[in-house]
Amino acid sequence: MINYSDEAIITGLKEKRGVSIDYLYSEYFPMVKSIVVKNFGTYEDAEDVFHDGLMILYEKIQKGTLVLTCSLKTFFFAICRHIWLQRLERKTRLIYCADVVNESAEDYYSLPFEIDEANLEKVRICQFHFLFLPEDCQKILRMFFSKVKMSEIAICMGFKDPYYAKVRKYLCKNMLRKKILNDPRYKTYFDNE
Amino acid sequence: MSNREKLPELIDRYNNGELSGDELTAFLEMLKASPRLRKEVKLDSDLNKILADSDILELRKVILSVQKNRKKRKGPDLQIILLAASLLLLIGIEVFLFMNYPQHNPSIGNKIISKNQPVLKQPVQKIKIENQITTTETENKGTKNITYKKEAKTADNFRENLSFENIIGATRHAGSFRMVAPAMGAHFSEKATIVFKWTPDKQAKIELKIMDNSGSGVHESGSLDQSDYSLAPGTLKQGLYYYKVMQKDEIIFFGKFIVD
Repeated sequence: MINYSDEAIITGLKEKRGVSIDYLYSEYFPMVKSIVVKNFGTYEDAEDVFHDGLMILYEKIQKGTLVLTCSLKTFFFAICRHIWLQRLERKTRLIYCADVVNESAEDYYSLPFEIDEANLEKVRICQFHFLFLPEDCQKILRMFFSKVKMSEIAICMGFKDPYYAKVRKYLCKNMLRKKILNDPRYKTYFDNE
Repeated sequence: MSNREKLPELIDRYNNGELSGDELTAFLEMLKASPRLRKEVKLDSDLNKILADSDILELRKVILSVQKNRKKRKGPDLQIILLAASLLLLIGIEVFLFMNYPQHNPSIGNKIISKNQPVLKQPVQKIKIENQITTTETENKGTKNITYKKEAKTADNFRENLSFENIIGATRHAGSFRMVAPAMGAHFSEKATIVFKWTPDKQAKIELKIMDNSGSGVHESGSLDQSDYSLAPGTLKQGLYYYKVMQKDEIIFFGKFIVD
């Protein structure tokens, strides 16, 4: 297997290259899985944390705020560990009304920025359900969220008039809303917001 | 359009700042009154923000597709394969045991299987029972084939009675009655005295009934008002026995013991 330098990975992630993400999965995911599974999490939890970590890394790369004082792997691990421990604490607090005793942070690279872990989870759930909507619904909603006018959406989608585009938009948005509201993760952790 | 049908539109317009005047006042009233509506408005507002970022959405799409491809490449989870293999193995063992259990396959235990045994001209000539071993002698063209097999009948005496097993230890309306001996599933020699002891319920007399593993009654104590009862050595032959303690025609204890 080819070994990519940190710079190559950063460039690949910036350009959303599947091959770079696949490489990160092979090289970085095992250690994320290890920290999550050792701390009361499942394989699926580890995948969620890994995806959230990628999002944070991508955002930092895009905004040009990524400053590495250690290897990219150490940095990424610190992000994921931070996300998981925060998530564990939030969920334990919500379910058992109790605090989790975090493992000592002394041996780890500490993050010089804050992470809104709950928001990461919410974003992931919403995006996940959006990406599993029918293709035409995704198209309509993408245009709607990008503030494209109904008349233009109607033309683009080949609808007879803007009113029909509006109806379709409501139907698609409702479908998405229902999927999210019925998601047990959303129900459990965001109902009481 | 009903209010319910209008709601998504109202939520949308509220989050886009398009409601005003009476419409806004009415909507705010509804918001105040309905936690569910507040939740929907919040979700709608979140969706507007989250899904407006098409760049992040594209990245999520790539991540999900990489994840999907990796799972496809990896094939079924090793744990699932191991679980399926274990299940198959268990089923195989079950089938093997079932087929080799004399109760289900009567030919086993009666038929003598001898390696390289030619066709018998005369079937079984002599059966001798001695210490649970059946000796079967067969003769074929002057050659004696002697094989030994544990007597199926004896094994039958120790087979658990599933109906009884389910109620072992069960007590009903037992009051202060407690069975002290024998311990559940205790083993006794054929030559030993089997002693039953209990802490008595002073209210009424009890009766002890002993059954073999087929459910047939083999011994009844009659009405007892003491706190123990003994069976003389040799009363019961080798086998698994169940006993019930009765009080006023009701079972107040059910136990088992083995004579071997």
